[in-house]
Amino acid sequence: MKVRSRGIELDLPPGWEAEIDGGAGEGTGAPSGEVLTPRTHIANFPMPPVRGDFGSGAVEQMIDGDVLLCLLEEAGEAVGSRLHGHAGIPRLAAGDFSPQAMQRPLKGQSGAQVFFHDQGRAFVLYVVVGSHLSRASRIDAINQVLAGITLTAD
Amino acid sequence: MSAVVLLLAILVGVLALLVIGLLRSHAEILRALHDAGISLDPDREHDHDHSGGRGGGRAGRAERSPSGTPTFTSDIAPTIRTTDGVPEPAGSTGRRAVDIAGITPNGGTRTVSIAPSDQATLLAFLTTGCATCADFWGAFAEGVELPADTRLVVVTQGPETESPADVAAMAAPHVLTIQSTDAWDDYGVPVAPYFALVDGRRGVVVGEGAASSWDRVRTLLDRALADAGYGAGQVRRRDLLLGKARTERVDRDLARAGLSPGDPRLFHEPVVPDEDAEPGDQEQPRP
Repeated sequence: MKVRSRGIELDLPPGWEAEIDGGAGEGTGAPSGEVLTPRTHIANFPMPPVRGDFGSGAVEQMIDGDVLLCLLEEAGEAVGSRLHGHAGIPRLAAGDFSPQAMQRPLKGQSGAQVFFHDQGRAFVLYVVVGSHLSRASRIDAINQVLAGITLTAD
Repeated sequence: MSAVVLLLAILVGVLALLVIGLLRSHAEILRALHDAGISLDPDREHDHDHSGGRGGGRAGRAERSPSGTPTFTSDIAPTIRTTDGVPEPAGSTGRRAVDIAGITPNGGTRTVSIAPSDQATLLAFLTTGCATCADFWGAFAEGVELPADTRLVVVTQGPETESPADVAAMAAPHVLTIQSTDAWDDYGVPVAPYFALVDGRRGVVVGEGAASSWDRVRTLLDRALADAGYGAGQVRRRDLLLGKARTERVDRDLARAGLSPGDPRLFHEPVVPDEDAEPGDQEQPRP
């Protein structure tokens, strides 16, 4: 299924679902003037409607085989920074995952975090797998999803 | 001689009356058979119209069994007709499941994978205007009990029909709510509120229809899920690994023992062994 919003286009394999919104603060009474940048969550399990930017609320429900990708756009000044020096949407390998990379460590789970820029926009990609031990078996599926992401300039 | 002629004339007249009576009786029998949807005319077997007969609008034709007995067969499965405006009971329609894409009450763009999935999805098609729908919005906000293998997704029509602000006001934050007119079209929703239960493993609709209360929906839900092979004591792998199955089992066991949440017996002081007690003395829990 294809979905497009906020300059982000997703071509999802069967069994995956996604949401693109304006960030955790949108529609929740966030302080006026706060810059809200697009937030994209993609998962191969039923995502709950309420989630934190880095997947809190969803990662607690993950089991072996589950994958959650969080694609968070950062403010414009991040473009050109050394942190976001990687050009284009990255691909991941099993070695990129580590339990220590989790925003909040959860038993058995593993995460990977990569910063990059594309189309003049800066992003952080945070991926969680339900089981560190079986992360290698999910890499192809993760990279297939990443290959289906197209970013366009704002 | 004239008497003989008169007698023969009377006899012929009586016989003529008998023949006419027999022909009339035969015609009435044929008419009755015709009204019953049975034709004995081999030349007209395939062009009968039974729409005005007792067949109730069923298309069919008369055939002869090997023994020569006329039998009625139908080319179309019997259907149930309902009054105009009342949806027909659908049950297991076999309609293919379609993933849903739309907008969320907080302005996000969301897709929902209905199939393939290891669980069932209950799609609740609601509007913000109808009174019966308001009952369902309220029930969902308070929280409804769903079978362990079932996910609830509320679907309203798109923003061109339903005000996003109205939907946001009705939708409960913990219930996935999507605005998608395409989903209404894909699932052929005739009225609101309307429910469709999708078997995520087979990717087909296993039950759908209108309902006026959550209790009614739950009854239909349990029946359709049982028919589809869900539930019935099965423990979903996700629930097992997350400990949800154990929590539910403990809750059930406690309820069976008469212990409900907040029961004072759950909060008594711990039993402390009395060091001065002689062996064999029975320890008494503190009040």
